Amino acid sequence: MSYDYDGEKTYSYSEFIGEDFLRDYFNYRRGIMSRLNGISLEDYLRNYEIFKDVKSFDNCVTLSVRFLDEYEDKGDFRYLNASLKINDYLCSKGRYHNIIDTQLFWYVLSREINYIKRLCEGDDVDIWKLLF
Amino acid sequence: MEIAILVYPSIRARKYLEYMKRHKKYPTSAIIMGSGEEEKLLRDMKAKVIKVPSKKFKNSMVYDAIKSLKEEVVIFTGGGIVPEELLELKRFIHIHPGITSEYRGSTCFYYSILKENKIGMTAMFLSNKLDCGDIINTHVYDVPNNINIDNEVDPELRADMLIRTLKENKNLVSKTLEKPGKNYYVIHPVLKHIAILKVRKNGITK
Repeated sequence: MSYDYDGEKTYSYSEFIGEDFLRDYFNYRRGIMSRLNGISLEDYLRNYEIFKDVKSFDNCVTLSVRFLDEYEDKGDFRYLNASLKINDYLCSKGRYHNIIDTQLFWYVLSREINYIKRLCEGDDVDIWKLLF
Repeated sequence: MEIAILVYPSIRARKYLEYMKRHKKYPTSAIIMGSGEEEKLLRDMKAKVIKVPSKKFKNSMVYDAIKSLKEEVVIFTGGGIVPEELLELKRFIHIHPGITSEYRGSTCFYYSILKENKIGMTAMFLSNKLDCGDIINTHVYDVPNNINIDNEVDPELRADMLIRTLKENKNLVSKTLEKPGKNYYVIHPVLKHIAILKVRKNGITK
């Protein structure tokens, strides 16, 4: 599987990547279901200040955007970590066709991919092999 | 100062004992939890050995064994939460893989590699709050060129830090942790992988 992707620009999925990629990526993330050592995602996120005023856990994608914004502002890897975990959770709990806002979902995933690409800059790493 | 060691069956405990033997920092007593594979090493160091057939800290035999020690300070080789009743019996030295004023929690090793390409270590006395105990010693290490972080780098650096502490601060004088650092735990596999890539690229070969 290979995708030509310019990581420096955030594309909407319909502009560039398309649905096949998003579905593949979604299914990959379903498979990860990152470990949380027996605690719920909500309990895990309670360690973060920005989760304390969140009343509902219904809109994970928007919450993930807030974590990514925080990571971008502060450079604290805990926030990128939280976003990755939220989206694993979202993918593992749902079905691809049930994503209400695919554009927003892709926006979050592409931001994550950008950050990961930047972290791997200078390393001889195939980002897609890392992600898939 | 006479020091005991609580040997929880692990690579870390084994490494601590190897370093203590090599540097002649012998424990005067030891409690071996579980199968007792480290007994010979401890006998070589002339330590008084108590064997307890349990791997759980919340266990009356473990409690009684710790209570029976004449030493006031015990080197802790396990992980997780130590029951309050044990903390009331003795002072436990724990080597935490992070500078606790910045990094607390179980995965700070990886986060400090990602952020600073360094690995901090804190020798501290365990308290009832996670990684908030009184600090005995701190040291920051370069990242060694070894991607086997959990099973080799972590126990090796912790063992080195233990010996460093016993040599540099013989009376184990400690100070309060004024401002605890952020809590880092449960790292995502992608970030963990990137940290390992950084070790492969930037790790120092000695």
